[in-house]
Amino acid sequence: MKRSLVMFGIAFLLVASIACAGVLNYYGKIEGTANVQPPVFIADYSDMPSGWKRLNINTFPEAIGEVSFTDTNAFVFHTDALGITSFYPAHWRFHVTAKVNSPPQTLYLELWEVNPNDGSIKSKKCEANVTLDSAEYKTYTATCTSGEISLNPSYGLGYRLMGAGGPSVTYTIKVGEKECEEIGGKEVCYNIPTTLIEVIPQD
Amino acid sequence: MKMKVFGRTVPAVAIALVAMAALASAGLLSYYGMITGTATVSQSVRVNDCQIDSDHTCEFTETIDVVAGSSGYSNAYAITNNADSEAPIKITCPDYTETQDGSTVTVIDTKCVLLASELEPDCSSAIGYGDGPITDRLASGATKYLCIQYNPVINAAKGSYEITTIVEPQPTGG
Repeated sequence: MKRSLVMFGIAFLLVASIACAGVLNYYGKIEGTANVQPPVFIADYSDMPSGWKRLNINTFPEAIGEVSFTDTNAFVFHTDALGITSFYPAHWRFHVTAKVNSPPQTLYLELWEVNPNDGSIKSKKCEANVTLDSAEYKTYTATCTSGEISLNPSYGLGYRLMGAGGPSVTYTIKVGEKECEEIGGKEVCYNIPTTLIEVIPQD
Repeated sequence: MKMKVFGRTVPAVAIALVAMAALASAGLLSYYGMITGTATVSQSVRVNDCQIDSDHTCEFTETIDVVAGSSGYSNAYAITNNADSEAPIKITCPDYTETQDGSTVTVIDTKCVLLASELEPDCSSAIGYGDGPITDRLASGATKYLCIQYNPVINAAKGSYEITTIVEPQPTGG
């Protein structure tokens, strides 16, 4: 009796497996591999509600222009709230196209946590500096390295440029520039970045 | 009269009775005819006209380069219902998540959209992306296009992340 029960069970499982094999579990699978690259923060001449200018994430400037400040004053480009609590350890490579009326002068390039509502700076996350050696526009680059940084999810990141000179030193920053090319007999123009921060993850 | 069967003594009458019963059974038909039909079933719903069989798993692979904080897009996948009746389908659209400090965080937010389009759409300009899963009832003969949008969060670490989106049958009433 016991043996026949076992035999019946095995037979049932066999039939069930044959029936299941005849029904599809899926029609198709799409296996996507996302190759993620680090972001770029690009200064844009567009206004933020805070009164500062926008710091874009991966997008070219919508508006271009130039901003000026004097002596030890500063100017801030910032993002909206990022909704994140941390950022991995990275090298922050600052690029700036700038000129100064009485070279040489030091310009500080800083990464800040910023409240996007009022534009107030909260805590400095990294800083570097460059020496402006021309009264004409030139592009300068400097890098700083940070460990993992913590962030308030309601805040964004800001690129703050601050002068060190004075008195009567005027710093001018180029925020994007127009570049045109001919495509298919038509001239197509873009606003390309001039002042930006590259993120280079630490190994 | 008795006979020896397998070392035992059995009355000949008993053997005769068993033999007669067997003969009688053989004289009764179990069936009048047997029809063996072979149904060749072709798959009703197909993704990019792929039919799952021993040679085809209908698993499509693609690689999307995307910058953290931006969006990357899949190719468009044609989902066709070749059946005579409508076919309920379900499309999973899973995020890529990781566990950090005991809590689950989304690294890549995946969104999908199913488009009723005459021509194959460009997924990068498609609108209506939303979180999955998507359920739909494909009309007989209808084709819709599936597009997938991959949105790595801005602090997603540089690297490769694999996400599998599945087009599967949806149980009726489900």
